[in-house]
Amino acid sequence: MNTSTARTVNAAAITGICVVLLGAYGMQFILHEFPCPLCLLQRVGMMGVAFGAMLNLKFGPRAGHYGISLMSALFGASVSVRQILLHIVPGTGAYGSPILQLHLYTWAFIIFVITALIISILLMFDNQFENRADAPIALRGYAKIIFMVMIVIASANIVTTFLECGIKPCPDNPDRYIMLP
Amino acid sequence: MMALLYMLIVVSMYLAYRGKRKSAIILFFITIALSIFWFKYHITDHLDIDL
Repeated sequence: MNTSTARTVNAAAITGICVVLLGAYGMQFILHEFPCPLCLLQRVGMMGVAFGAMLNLKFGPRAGHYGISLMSALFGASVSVRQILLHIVPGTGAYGSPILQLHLYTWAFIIFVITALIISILLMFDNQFENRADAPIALRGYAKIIFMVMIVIASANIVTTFLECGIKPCPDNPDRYIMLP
Repeated sequence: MMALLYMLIVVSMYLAYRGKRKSAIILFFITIALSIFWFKYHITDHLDIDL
């Protein structure tokens, strides 16, 4: 896998994260299910994974960038598995509606584990790290578009999370936007 | 303040876009540290969920 292919794979990864985050927004605005604090932290993990991939797009693939994505995936997996354990005993309820029989935090855990697996595989291709760019790479075409889309989605989360939680810690079981009348 | 985490990530992403790799990564690690703090806060706090 050469540098160009690796950058394409990273662009695809950012696209996948964007789809997941937009899906979470779908649950929030279409089904009116408010994200809990742990759900919001899982989104942070997703964005961290995307951030590592964005660094690979902008500066070329580096092991350190994959490390950032891997660390974020581990953080997100920790948060999601904690939420799974909250509800693991049958009859103890769940948070939110299931999608394809699994709740979002379970899907999040699966996605984080698959992400870690994919990063592990990507790190095996040494030749992507050859011809390392000394200067940042000018983003063009789809790479620039998906970079911007990710920033817009992350920015939207600033607004919606502020409306939901305000400046205090988020309520454990949110049922409204605190900052809206 | 959970929105702060997203704000820091957006700034990290913007710094990366502007080509400021080191600043972006430093800010990202601050974000992760704060995220771990909030994670610890919420997992040791009583969750008012209908269990």
